[in-house]
Amino acid sequence: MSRSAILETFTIQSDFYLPLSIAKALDLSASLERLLAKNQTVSSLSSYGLHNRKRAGLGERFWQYRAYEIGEDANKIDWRRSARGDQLYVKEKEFESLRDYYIWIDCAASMKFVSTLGQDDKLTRSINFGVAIADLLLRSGDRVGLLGSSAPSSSRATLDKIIHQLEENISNNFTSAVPLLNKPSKRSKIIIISDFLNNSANLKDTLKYYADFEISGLVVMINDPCEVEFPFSGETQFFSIENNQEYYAGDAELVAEQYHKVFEKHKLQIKETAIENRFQYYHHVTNQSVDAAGHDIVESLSFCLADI
Amino acid sequence: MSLYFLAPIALSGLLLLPIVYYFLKILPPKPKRIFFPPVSLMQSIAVVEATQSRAPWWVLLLRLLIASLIITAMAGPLWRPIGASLDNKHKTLIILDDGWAAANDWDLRIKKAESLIHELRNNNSPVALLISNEPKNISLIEHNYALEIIRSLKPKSYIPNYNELTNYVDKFTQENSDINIIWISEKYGHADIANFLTFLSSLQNKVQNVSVFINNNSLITLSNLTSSQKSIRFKVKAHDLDKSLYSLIANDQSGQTIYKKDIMIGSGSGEWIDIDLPLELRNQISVIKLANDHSAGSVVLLDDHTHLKRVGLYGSMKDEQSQPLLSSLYYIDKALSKLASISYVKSGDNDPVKTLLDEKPSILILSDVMLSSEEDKKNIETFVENGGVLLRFAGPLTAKNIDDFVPVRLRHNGRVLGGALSWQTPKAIKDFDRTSPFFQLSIPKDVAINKQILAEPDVGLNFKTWASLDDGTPLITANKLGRGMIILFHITADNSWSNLPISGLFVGMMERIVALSPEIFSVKEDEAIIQNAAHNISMKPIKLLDGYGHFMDKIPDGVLALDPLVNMSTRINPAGFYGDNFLKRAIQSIGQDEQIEEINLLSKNVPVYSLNSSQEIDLRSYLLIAALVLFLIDGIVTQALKQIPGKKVFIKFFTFLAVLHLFFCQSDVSAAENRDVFNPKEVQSALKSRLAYVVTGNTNIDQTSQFGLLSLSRALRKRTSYAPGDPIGVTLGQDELSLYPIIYWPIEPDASEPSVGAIKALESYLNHGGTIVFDTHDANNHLQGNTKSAERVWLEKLSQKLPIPELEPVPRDHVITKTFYLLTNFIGRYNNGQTWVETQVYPDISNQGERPIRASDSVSSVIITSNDLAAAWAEDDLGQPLYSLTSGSKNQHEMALRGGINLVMYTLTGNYKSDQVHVRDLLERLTR
Repeated sequence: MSRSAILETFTIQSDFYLPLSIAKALDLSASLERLLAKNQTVSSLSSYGLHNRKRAGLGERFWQYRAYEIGEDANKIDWRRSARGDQLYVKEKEFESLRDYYIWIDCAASMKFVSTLGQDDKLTRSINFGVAIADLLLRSGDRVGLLGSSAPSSSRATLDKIIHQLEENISNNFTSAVPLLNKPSKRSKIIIISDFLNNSANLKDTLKYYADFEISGLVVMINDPCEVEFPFSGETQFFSIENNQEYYAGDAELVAEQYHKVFEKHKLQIKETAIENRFQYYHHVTNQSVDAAGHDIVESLSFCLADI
Repeated sequence: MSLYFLAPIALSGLLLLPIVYYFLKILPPKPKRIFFPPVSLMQSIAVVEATQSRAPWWVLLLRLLIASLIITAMAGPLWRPIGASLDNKHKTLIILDDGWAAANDWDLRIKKAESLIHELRNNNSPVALLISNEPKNISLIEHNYALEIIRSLKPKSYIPNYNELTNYVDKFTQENSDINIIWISEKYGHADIANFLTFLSSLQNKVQNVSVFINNNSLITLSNLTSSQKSIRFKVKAHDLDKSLYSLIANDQSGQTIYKKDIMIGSGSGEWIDIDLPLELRNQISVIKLANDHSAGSVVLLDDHTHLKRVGLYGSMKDEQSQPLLSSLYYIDKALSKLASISYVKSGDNDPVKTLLDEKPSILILSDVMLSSEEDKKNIETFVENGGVLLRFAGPLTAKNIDDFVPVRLRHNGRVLGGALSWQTPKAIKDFDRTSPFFQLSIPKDVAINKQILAEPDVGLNFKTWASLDDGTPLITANKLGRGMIILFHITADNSWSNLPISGLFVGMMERIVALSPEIFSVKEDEAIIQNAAHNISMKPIKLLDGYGHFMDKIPDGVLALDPLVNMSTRINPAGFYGDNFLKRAIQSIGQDEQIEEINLLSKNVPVYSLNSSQEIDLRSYLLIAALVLFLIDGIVTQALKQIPGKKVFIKFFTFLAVLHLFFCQSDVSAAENRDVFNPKEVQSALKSRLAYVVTGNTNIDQTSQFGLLSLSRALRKRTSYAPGDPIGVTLGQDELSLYPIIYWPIEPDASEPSVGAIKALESYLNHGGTIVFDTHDANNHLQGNTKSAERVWLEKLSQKLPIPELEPVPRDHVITKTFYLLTNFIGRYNNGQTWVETQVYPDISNQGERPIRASDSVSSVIITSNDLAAAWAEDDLGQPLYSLTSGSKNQHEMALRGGINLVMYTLTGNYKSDQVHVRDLLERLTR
């Protein structure tokens, strides 16, 4: 496609149709679950949940007695059982886990931007990922909520509630920075999906705030390919709706190189911020495949769970 | 003035340039506005100023220069156009030669004449035009009309008559003295072309100016065609030509090349070329020409006179070998030796007549032979009835025993003239009638007949007489029998009864008789035959040559029937074939004795210009090239101005070149694009062979076809080695048909008629080996007594537009009944309908003139049935028929499927299966 054709077809999806992206999200979560079930090497998300895990671990219910091995902590020995015989026993409890998950999707107007190079607008992708993760977590019994909008819950209605809330946020062009919870529970996880074009300034503070509560999570940065590649030329006036900023380029082609530098720097900054605060970081461009990206996101999510 | 514009009005485009400049300078284009979320990131980037609208003045100037160059080129500038003498406002007479000698560089001449007239128009000088081959009174005409005449002109296959032209030009110059005369000459002609030049040079003092344009072109002529027993012979002569390779080709009537030979041709007095081919091939040659020369002068036509006939010769005398001069056959042999290939009977042959007839001659000559055996009589009768000519000579034997194979009733015993016991003197031969084929043969005075056999004076004897004696007694008689003819010379073939056989007249007679045989006999009426046999009287043009040496599509106006005396290509009788399909005469573009000369221009004091001279320079190409170069420079400069590092400039430059290249090859690219677009359906069908049906638009019928063909395809996969893909519906006029070996077409009477494009596609499908099965599915109606259903009417209407061959009900022994299963009929939902296939035509060996080319491998291109096949084929998953079948018998579905399999196998295997019928015999022969 010629360059000028690309320029003419930059649009903002004004008639954003949520149910379609939800349906796609549910498809995605189903396929991810199948994939996880098949692929044992990927550490499974569903190993962390409220359910009895049928294996030894942290929990309250009795699981089994096993023989004490030399070198183990002595206070692990269950003396009551050991007293019945000559052998020392350790009492193990069944593994249980309970975690709150918060998902935050940036619903700003810039998220609805799509160029002809991208397959979907950024918001659709974000919802695909966000809802798929929520669905996946709810299925394994975890508590999921929308950060700043709803409290985490593991009830059946949670997914509907999240979707409903999202719909509202989208129609309001909900464009604040990542919200700060008053009293976040310590072991909860936060998944942030955004293009980080307008809210990057206080991201560092936000993440730091949560890190202080020992909260970690995942930062997904999502971009349109034209934001990465900058395929423009000629005399151009760039503008954005969010903050009514404008930029004039006498010849966009000459700016491209500098733009690439700036954009890479910005991207690196987000990544470093995330990693400093023990958040996983994932970058997605909307001309990449949804399924592969979904798989990668779940994988990095499971990494961030494993680091406890 | 030496600069001249073909279309000066285009120069007014230059006026637009200042306006363009004004807009470029004053109103630069607005920048594009683009919504781009990461703008906030870009605030740190230094602002780059625009370069384009502030391009330096000299770049703008460069671009304006490019534009003005292109506009000037559009105006068609010529530097020093030819005919500088034309500036004055005199009347100008243009004489344009359009004989065949002008054909090779015709475009050049037309271009020259056109540019002359353009120039005259611009100078407001009146113009008069004289086309050499259409001489008429010269008058001044409109320039546009003159252009029209010239553009519609084509070279002719004859040479101008310059004597005639001289008269017209003379008349015109006497009326108008202040004229220019320009002769665009073809340089070659008869002797009178030199006279014409002399005449023009003599005019120089009377008129303003005389100039001659010629091209230094070479000329090759093929002429003096003769045909001898050994070969076809003609003369190749070239003027003004360095030795170069030409390829000589001989084509038959239908234009297929029979013979090809590469020859070296160079200037000289001429070279004889012989073409030596087997008789059968040689007689098919209709045209001999040079493949890479496009003029009627390098074409010779072969007619029935040049075709060599085979003649069977048999005489009664026993001692033919020992005493040749006394043999009755000697003189016939001498007369025919150059005209025909003669076969003899070896001495000791028991059945000479049969031996001769087995060689399939055109003419059988019997000299005083008594036909006694019944078998001989029968053989000769078949021979003549099939178009052969039986030529008999009387003699002592025949005089006594007269059989049935004579044209007229004969009296026993001859009469003797001028013998010792007679007071009658030997008789001379009377002049031939116009009705006789010998008309206009000159009769030597000393030919005399001493003895002859007499004919009974029956009714109609006159019509059968071709030659008679002074006193009116018939000497040569002829009569039609079947398609052939019996001719009787009432004298012997040696000199014992007359001295005719040793005269030149005899040779002439034989020539005419040979030319007559064997296909002349088609007209029913005896009288008309003999009229026609007198072949030269009225011959209509059949195919005529144009100046390029090609056959014209139609006969031009003003061409008359061939006069027998004409032997040269003229306006009234241009070169080509005349006559009818049975007897043809060719008129060559260069007659037998015609001399083609080159005029000597130097000897006369006339200014001569060359047509393709370098004096005139067309500036268009130079201007365009200059514009292109400047355009490239502009591209480089623009890139350099953007201050992009050096390396990139080159990359950009080459990209720019590539884009330019694309720009100039745009047509190619678009053609390639067209080729790349394939319908996925067609791709599928091309990858896997499948059955197809015509989508009629009626959902019921289409569904039935789909199900039926699906079931049939399944059966084919299961039972045969042919594994078709799933059937597909084709829409006429849209889909490519050639991908399907067989197309099933259920007739839907309510459907509109196929479009013209669809008919064309169908036609080409049928002509290139496709098969269509038409199903009227109306056999039921016949049961109820309706004769013509709506479906049938629709099909009949369609068939008038399609090349549907003659059809017949499937014969019991037709290949289609045994290609896979042995079947007697093709049943479908009904079993009473008839199935029709193409009538089988067995190759007719005798008819060699036409060679039908059949792509279909003798597979019928059309099969018509009324049994609703698809409905009977359609089955469900359990193999049960989907539709109720009307005869109700159990195996009707199975039999229908078998019929379908046979149909498909038939179209796929062609006549291979019919060859298979003979396999048993072949195997037996091999084991023997």
